[in-house]
Amino acid sequence: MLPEPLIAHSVRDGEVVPHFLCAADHPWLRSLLDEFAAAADRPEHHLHERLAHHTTGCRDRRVLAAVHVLWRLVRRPAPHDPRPAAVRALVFEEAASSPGDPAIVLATVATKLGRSVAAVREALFADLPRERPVGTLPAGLTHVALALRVNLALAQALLYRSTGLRVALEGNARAVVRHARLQGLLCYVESGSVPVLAISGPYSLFRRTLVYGRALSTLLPQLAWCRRFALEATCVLAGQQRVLRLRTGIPIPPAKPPAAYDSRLEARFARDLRRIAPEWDVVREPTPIAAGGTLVFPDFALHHRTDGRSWLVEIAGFWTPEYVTRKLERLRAARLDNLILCIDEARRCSAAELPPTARVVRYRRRVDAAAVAALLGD
Amino acid sequence: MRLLFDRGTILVHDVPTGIDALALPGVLWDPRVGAARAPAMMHAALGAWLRARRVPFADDVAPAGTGAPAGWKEIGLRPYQSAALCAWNLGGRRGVVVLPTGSGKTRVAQAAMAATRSPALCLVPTRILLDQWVRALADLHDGPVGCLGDGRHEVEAVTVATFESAYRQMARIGNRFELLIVDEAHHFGGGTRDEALEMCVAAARLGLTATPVREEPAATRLERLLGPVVYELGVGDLTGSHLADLDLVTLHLELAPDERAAYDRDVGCFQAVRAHFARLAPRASWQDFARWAARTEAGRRGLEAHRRARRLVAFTRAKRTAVSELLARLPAARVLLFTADNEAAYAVAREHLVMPLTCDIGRRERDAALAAFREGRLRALVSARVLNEGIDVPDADVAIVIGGGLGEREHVQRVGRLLRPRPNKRALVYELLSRRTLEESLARRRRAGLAARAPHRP
Repeated sequence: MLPEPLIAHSVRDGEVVPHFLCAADHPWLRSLLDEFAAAADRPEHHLHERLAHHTTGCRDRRVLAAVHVLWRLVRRPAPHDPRPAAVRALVFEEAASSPGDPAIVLATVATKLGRSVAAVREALFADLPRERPVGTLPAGLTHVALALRVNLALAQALLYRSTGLRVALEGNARAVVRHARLQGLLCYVESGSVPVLAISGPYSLFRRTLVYGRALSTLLPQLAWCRRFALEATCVLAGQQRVLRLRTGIPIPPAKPPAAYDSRLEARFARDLRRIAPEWDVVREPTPIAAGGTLVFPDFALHHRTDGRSWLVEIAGFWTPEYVTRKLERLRAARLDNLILCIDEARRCSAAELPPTARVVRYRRRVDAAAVAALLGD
Repeated sequence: MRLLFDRGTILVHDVPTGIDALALPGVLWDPRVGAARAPAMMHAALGAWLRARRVPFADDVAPAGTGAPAGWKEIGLRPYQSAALCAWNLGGRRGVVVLPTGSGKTRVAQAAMAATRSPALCLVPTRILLDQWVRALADLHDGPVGCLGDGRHEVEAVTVATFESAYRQMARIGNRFELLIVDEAHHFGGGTRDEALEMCVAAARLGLTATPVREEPAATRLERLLGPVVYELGVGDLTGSHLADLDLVTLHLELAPDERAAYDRDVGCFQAVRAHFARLAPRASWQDFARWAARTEAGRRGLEAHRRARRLVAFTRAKRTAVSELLARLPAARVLLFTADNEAAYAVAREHLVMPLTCDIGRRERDAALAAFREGRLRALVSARVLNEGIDVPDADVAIVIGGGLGEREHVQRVGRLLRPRPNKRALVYELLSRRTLEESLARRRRAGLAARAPHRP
């Protein structure tokens, strides 16, 4: 994570404005990449000295941030031969047993190891910072990719210093909520038409804690897959609270693309239904529905291509009984009158547990797309 | 009514009619989940409040299958260690024990764990201490000892964690322990990472330190987190009996002419900026100054000049000569050298072939070096910070303080490294100071801090 002094930003009316890298920065990013490539396998201090003319007295924190990101990307080089730790043990113990001129001590150890004095001197601290050789950067890292990585590091460093966030989003909401919950965060729906998620940690109730900063920062690459998002976070910078706003289109790289389906069961159902009922559009991940302070994410929406009818389909698959109970509670709270609920027979849900207005299809191993199509009323 | 642990907090469910959940100690209404919630550290207070009012409740905070620790071997205590443990028990098993470095604080903690026989979590500041504590507990505890940090994630009824791991993991493990022990407790109270203590349900809490927090509001905050100071002894109370006697020698050294010129130039540049800021904000802190200075060209030049000046005095030519002479004069002594930073430590290591112990040296090599020092195969170790705190350094007779930037607390900890007693031992600390530099005022503060804890001689 970028340390605070490297976060390139300005503050306008209490709002943090991150200084993202853009095309105008590509020339100096290219020269930084060249410096790192040329320094491969040479001691780190050579590169530090080479970089000094980029960074000494540098007012642009973006340069310092790019250097920081590059150091993190460098791969570790092969271990030094002879092993520095072994050389240190020999040299310092020899120095303790026969104190005197260090040159004589080094010569004695060199003889023992069958190496030159220069090799022993070089190996002595060859694994320590500034002395160890610079590794190589990941293959194919371009100045454009580097700019995106620096921007991501910058935005994440700001979120790392945040106490909680609110995000209005369209598309990929399910993946964002799931990721937030996996990170131990609470998601709470604040308002209606476009759902606004308030995301924070349980302890945030008691004080403006930064303990969830790491978890909050990991949400950002997930948001990059949303069709649209607008995020607002409260950050603590230089001891002051600031507002951070990030929107769709900020220049950051997305996380790995979210999987189209949660399971093979769902993928197979979508394929079967498209084949059986071609007059219905099968929409994966429709707009989430607010229910009881949280969001319900139906697995599918089915829209008729001509008459405008639509249904929501929820597949309650093989999960723990507590999960199914919680899901059914949310569905009951949502009071959906166009819901088709496909439920695993093995769960043995009684009729009383199911949402009263839902049509129910029970399945075993595979959801019968024909049974669902029959409920659509064609 | 049901109490449940939820990621570092207590959720209060099924509140009976007639009870106002928000009247419970520490409880706030959480609209995000539609339930009442309290910080985990309020667990004992919640239970006491409900029992006092005879409100029946199910305490489902501890996870199912939480086992008590296995037995402990006999732990022999010195009289003052027994007294410290007794004071902690009398304080309701909450509080901070202040004992000088080298007087066996870990022993008091082990005795507290054995006495309570409760699942215990010990927090330590560094990975080096993590390893040391795990080994110390494994020697006396019959069951396994868990470890959180340094790439390990093993939670047992007796577990040791670094502060950093505890900060990250307490939301998950905070309900598993009834006793919380915090080594070097003075690191808490400042606000940073205090959540690690707040998100744990443990009612019994023991803090250990040689340098208690006296500044407000940190002292009050630490008292809320761990309890008050229940027992305190200084170096002077134990020297000659349980700690070795100590002599302090300060060597005032001159800068070489070229060093003096460079130093005066840099300090002049820095002081001009500092004085300008002092006129603008007379009561501002160093942090305020650093933030302000970073925003202007002149400020940045001033800060850079300050860094150069400090680097220069960290290991001057006169200090190099003095270290060389002292090492030559003390061929039989076991010497610890302390520097201001790693760069100076490596410079000493190169020039004088002294083994460095820094954060860059791996655990295995560090252990081997400490063993070699203990067995006499190494006669000296040099370190910037690693040897400052807690780490169990083998017996040493002489310390050479070449530089330091962390003030009184650091100095007390460093000197404490020499106080392990031995018949007829008289520990010797050489402090190398560059005349007419920032070091003189730093050294005055360090000595004042030590004097408060040093032997009282007639």
